[in-house]
Amino acid sequence: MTVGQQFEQKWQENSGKIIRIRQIAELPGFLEGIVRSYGHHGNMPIVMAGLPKTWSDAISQGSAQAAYLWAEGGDKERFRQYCEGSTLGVTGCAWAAADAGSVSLYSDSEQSLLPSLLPPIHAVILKESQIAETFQSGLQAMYQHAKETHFWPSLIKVIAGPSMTADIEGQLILGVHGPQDVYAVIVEE
Amino acid sequence: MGQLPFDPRPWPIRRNQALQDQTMRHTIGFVTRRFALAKRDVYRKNPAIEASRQAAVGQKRQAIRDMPRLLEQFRAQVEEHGAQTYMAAGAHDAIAIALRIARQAQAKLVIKSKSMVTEEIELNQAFESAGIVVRETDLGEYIIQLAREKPSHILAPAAHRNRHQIDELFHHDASQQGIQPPVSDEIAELTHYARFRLRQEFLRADMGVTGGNFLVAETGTLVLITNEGNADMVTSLPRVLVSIVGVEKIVRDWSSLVQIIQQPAMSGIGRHLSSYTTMVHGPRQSASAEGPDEWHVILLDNGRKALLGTEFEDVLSCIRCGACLNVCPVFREVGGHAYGSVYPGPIGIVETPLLTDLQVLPEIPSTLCTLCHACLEACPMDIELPHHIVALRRLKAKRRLNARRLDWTMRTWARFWQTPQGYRRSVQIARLAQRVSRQPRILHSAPGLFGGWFETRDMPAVAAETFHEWWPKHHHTGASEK
Repeated sequence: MTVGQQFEQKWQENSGKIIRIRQIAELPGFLEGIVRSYGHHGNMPIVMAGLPKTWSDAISQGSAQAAYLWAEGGDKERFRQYCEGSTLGVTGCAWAAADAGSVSLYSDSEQSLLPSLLPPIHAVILKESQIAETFQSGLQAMYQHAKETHFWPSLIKVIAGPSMTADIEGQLILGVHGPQDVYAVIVEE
Repeated sequence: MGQLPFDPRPWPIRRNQALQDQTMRHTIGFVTRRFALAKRDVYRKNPAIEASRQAAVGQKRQAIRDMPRLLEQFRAQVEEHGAQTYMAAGAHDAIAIALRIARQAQAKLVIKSKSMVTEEIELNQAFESAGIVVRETDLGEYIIQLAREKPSHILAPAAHRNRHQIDELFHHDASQQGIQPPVSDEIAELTHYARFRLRQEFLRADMGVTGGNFLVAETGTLVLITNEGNADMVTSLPRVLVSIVGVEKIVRDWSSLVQIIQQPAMSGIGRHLSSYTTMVHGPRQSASAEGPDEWHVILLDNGRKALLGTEFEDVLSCIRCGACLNVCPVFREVGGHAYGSVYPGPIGIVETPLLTDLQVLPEIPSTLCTLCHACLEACPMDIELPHHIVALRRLKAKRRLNARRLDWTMRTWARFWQTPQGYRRSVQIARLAQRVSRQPRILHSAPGLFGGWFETRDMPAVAAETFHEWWPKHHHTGASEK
């Protein structure tokens, strides 16, 4: 089993959903489909952060739905309001782990954690080359990088599935505070 | 010496109330068995985890021994990242520091993610008395906050309440808030109500309060683990963040964190990771879209450091996974409230008296353990819980903390059973007593001193002829037949 296949399996075991696309042009149609099936009432259905420019441009231009991208120097109050009112948050990630079925996001000038937190659906887009074999090796690589650059992001978030609770009678419910659906979109290179 | 809140009602009252609460017993039984099975499965399917666990145990023990130095290193690191740190000797000190921060920030609404330490110091009561609204945001904690109760399980705080009772609480809350109540008492609807209700407060809150699962000395990292995502709301949204963490959460370096970070999810709920693992290094960097402007870390001692260098030191390795609760036959029957402490289960009956130098609930190591050793087998940190329970019983006897009547009974019993003759005489006395009380087969009660023992148990009656009495007669005959 390849690292990518192992990630897929574990991510799904964690109640996440998987999409594989061959080229970035397929992305807008797919994201639009999610928003349409979930329904949307506000004026900013999609919020984005931490994506390569080609990807975010593809989404903004290729989608009929309005999409807002967090960028360095942006108005954080306005971005927070958009995130609160949106249906779908789209982010990149710093790395993923195959054995745990997890993705890791860093809060910095380009990447915001809010699209992965406030909207009811989160889609994280990643390349297969970003997937570490184990969560432990991913953590070690992250540490090495931080040591070399003398920089730790103020917030790091590791996501392994949708927001969930079993606090009432032990029954599992998805989407208590964060997203009820998380999609990992793997872009084949 | 630490200060811990406790239920002052005597153990028999707490016990009877627990045993009569069928809702609680059903849910606790279901939840604990499911968690215990999930833990067993994840270890079975991933044998490589065992090496990490063993490494984590060794590293954590060493970190506890080096705690004072590592705490200083941690403080230096996070302060370099722009945070403020504080050492709180006891619960009152931690409360005073947190209140001072809240007042300086002019906080009116505080949102909290789940934290056992803030239960330990009764933060909510202190803030409410000071006129500051505190909102628990973990679903289970939110439910028990509305019901004004304590958690009944470390991981599932509201496991003692069923959907109908929770629906009632939410309806009452909705009418007070003037908002739409849950559409029905379906669990999904109840959760949806909590999402909507708490989201408004997440967005309005001025201050967030978290606990912490791990503190990394080398890198100045605070690690928080949740499944709901509420800790992410608390660390991302309010302008002031206060993290109140027990000093024992310290680990030495990043590689220690790598070994231990998956243990709470693996041993607690049987998953590789919980849905969210959040690492905080400092306040918001200027260009970031989220994170607090101020971050304050309060490191709480409250009786922990007094255990350093004692035979109980390994208790400080606890990662609060709840694995010992899930396998404990006593916990499965009586649930968390019967313990009377914020820390229930095997770890609670050890830690509660230890943190308070046996001032709080010293009776629980004697009353709430059968010494079956299931907790020792389940504990991922290899804490010698049954050994400590026996040691605490010994310590209690030495300090004469047991009721005099109990002491006298145990001493008399011991005197009889020290010799074979004494044992045989006790059997004869018991046989006489059961004849007088007319209980030929099973004893349901006993007079005076021995009555308490029979309140929750029966005992088979002494046989008309015991094996010891039978043997000399027949052994002799058997030998001569050969």
